Amino acid sequence: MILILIIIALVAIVGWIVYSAGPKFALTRFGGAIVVLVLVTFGVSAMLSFTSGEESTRQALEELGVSRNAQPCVTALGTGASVENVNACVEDRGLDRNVFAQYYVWAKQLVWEQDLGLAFYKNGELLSDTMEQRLPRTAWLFLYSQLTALVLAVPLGIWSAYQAGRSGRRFPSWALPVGIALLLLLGFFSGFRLTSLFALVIAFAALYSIFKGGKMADNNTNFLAFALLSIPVFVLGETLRYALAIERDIYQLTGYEPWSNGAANHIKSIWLPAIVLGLAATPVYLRLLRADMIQNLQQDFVSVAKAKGLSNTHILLRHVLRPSTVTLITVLGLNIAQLVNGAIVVEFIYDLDGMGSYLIQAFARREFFAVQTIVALVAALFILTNTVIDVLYTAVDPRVKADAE
Amino acid sequence: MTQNMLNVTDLRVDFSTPSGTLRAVDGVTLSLAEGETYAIVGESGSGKSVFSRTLINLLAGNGTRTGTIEIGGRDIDTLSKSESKHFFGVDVAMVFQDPMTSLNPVKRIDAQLTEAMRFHLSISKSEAKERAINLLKQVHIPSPEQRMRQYPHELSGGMRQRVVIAMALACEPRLLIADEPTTALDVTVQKSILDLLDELRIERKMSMILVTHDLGVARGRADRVGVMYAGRLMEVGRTEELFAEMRHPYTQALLQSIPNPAQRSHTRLQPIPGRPPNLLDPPTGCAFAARCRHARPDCLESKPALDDDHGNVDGHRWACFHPVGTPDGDAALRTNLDAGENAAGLSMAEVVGELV
Amino acid sequence: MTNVAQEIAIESQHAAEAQAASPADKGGGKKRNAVFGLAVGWLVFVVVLVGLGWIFGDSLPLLRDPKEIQTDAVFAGPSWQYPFGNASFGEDIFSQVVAGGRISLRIAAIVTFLGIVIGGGMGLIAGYYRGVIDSLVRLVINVTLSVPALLLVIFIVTIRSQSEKWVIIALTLLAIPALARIVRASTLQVADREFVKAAEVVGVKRSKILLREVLPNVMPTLISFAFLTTGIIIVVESTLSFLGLSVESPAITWGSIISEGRNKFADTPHMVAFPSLVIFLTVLSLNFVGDQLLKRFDIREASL
Repeated sequence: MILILIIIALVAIVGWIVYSAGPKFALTRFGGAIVVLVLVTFGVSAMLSFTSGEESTRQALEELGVSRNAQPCVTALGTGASVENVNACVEDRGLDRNVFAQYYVWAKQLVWEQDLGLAFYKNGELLSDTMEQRLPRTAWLFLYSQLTALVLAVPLGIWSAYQAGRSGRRFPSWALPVGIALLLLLGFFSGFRLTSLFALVIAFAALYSIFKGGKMADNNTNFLAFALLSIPVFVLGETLRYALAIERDIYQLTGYEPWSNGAANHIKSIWLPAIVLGLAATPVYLRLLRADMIQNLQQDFVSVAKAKGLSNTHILLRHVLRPSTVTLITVLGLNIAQLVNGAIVVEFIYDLDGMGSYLIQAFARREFFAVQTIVALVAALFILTNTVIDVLYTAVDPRVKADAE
Repeated sequence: MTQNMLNVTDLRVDFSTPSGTLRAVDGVTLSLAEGETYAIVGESGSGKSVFSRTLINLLAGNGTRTGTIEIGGRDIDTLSKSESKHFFGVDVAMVFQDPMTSLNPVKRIDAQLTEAMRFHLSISKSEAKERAINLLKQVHIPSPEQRMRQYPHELSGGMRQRVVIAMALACEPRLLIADEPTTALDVTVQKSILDLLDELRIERKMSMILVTHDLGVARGRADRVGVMYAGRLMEVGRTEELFAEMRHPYTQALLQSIPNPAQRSHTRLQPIPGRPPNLLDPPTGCAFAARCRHARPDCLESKPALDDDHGNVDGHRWACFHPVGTPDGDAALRTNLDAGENAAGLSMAEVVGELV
Repeated sequence: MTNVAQEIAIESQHAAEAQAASPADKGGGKKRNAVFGLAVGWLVFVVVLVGLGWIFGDSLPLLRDPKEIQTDAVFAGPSWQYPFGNASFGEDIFSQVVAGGRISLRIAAIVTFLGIVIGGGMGLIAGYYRGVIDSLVRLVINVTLSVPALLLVIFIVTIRSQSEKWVIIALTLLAIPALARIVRASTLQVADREFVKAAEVVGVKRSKILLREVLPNVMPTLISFAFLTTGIIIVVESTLSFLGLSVESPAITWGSIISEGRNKFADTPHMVAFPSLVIFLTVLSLNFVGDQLLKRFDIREASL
């Protein structure tokens, strides 16, 4: 069902592009995309076919009565598998045939028969079933995290870009470090927990920056973005998990609840991982938006608007914001790669049974064929998004056409 | 006496930069009566743009000003928050130099025209639209209804500047500041724009400050002229008087450096040697001394005040110790010519020098 | 097949940042230089400490055998004897962190080196000579970067083996196209400049031009991005070992310490906190240094 919708959307997009930019152009772009896709999937397949292991293993397998190349099947089926099962598996996957044949077998199964294969070979669970169950969770995670990131990054970006050109309130510059030191000392001796202390310090710094305004506030925001960028997702996730789920009971690690169990439960089960993933994406958006806004703020029409007597807020939001969001929107689409990376980690930490955790399990159990399929799907999605954005860009900005040979 | 439209008293504007404090405007005092046009003339870097922008509250983040500015009798520093919200753009408005970049490229003309009106005056959308169409008619843009829905890039340069003028007039200001309104336009269009400004000014009884580097524009359109250099007014006065009998060496040098069809052909142009002073580290004494052919040692020690030796505040005044056309000034010139250089060490050969 | 939009996004960000960093920023200011010094200092400190630990082992003060069991100090918090606290069998976490740094830093160094040499080389040649080589390189870049980084690395490591060798290979496969893309973009810009064209017209051998004119001008960008890439590699590697997919025990890496720490719930925040802090500070310093270098070198191009 969903597949049909996707195909319709694809056709629509292709059609529009052909219409606006010319068939030759669309052909080269999409042709290129397909070439890349094929190469990626072939590369994956090729890598898989060379995993048959060392000579000793292969000999041992032969002695056991199965094919020399049966290693992946043996791992997938487990130690208790019978020779017949293993051999059937080998036959199925074409492990005895060459690289191209294997690729062909896989590709045919996926594209022609639309059979996604098995999620776990052992228990025969279908990948399509697994995806149906798990994909929505990951999708919600994506959605909420991006929303969080935007909610955080956009106001901050606008505000710090605006502050960048102003002088802040007069305040002694030692106030910030002294204040923080005082807080730390106070907290230490009152026996505050480290995490509370940390949160307090951050809150203090934030309030101070907001109050002081001006270049300093902009620098602080920049620094915050920078620091956030340098924290690995798993560190962030693990720290917040500890602080909010273990030290305190703010977040319950009870696992995922779908919408059908009630909106409140759903949100309660997923908000922290969503925020973690959102925080990881925020600095990127923040910096992009801020940079664009600063550039636009230097334009003439802003002075004109100010001379017209319009208020700063009005100018910021209704004149400067719109052109500044172009890069941001582009990157939003391209950020899927980061999302996938982050989802794998976050689902692992917070025990959400989404596609990310499935991937980890699949890797652990050497479910290579399923992995191959998923990698193909992800790559396809990524390549498609890239190509569409690429083409849109070219349509919008003619100088890009010249650049793109 | 009718109240002055604009009173600026000892305005100083400083900018704090990483390399130090830059003084862009160094004690400017001037007044503008109702219905008058005052031209401020100066080269790039003279401070005229900073001055005009300060009048409309467009001071950059790292700028500070001292001195008073009274527009329509109100000191802008005493405006309450709510008053100041609807002062700039309403009582005083500005026409900018470059019509290409003054208009927001992604907004339609009607939005840009009606924006200020809807922000400042509480009128309905449809009424604002009507007024906008009227404004376009007043600036002589044909088929205004169609133009309203267009984007800036669909209009020619001259038309865009007319739109910019219309935008400035939207809330019926009494003081209009035009910052080099024709510099970015073709010569043929320049005249029509200046004519338009004149027409509107008379119709609406506005006062106008015309900032320009073009002496010809100043001479033809202004009631009074102020010549600005390095942030100070060097010479001010009624246009005819000033041009008939200029007193400040800088004004004279300016006039001699541009082609004048009234002169014989093959008359040599005389560029002004040297360059404007570094405003981060301004010289003591007169700012023009280094390039002036009348410069004597006293010029290097203190800055002359704007005066006419008679204390007359409204007439022709100049800031010079050895003005042109006075016995004192002629003597100074002669001394320098004999010495071969002026008091600042500038070779006189350069000053009366030849154009390559 | 250029991924134009992505390149534009990256370049416009850098350009905008360079412009947005007003001349006042460029002046640097004492504060910025101080922080830069701090960052470099931290990096040097970490490298030296880990290096000394490698060479001298437990003979150094404060360091002891990371595997040494102290049954009386299981899961203890930080103390004078054990500045970072103790692990599940009483091992000293501080020593573990120092020891773990060996692998993490070694991997990062090797990968970055290979990335610079191979990726940088590829980018240079592709960007300067253009033509078929360029198309090929671009193809390789696009193909490799079509798969999300973590996914690719996990994939390679699991289908081969979780040995240090394969982790390095997987990470290198990530670093090479990333650096190649940056170097190529920079080379394209430099090759367009007049002094290069002048040299070509005069008839200087192209390979000489590449080495003597183009390379030195691409260097600053390359170095800055090398720092940034090292940071990313450290993050990816520690994420891998956190997930249990990097070098296996008994080898210790920063990520593995954290991973072990999270499994025991209550009251062992120090097992997670200290290695996390070390990773964070190191990556932060690397990012900061790389960013500052970029700002100082890469300016004028962008604003034109």
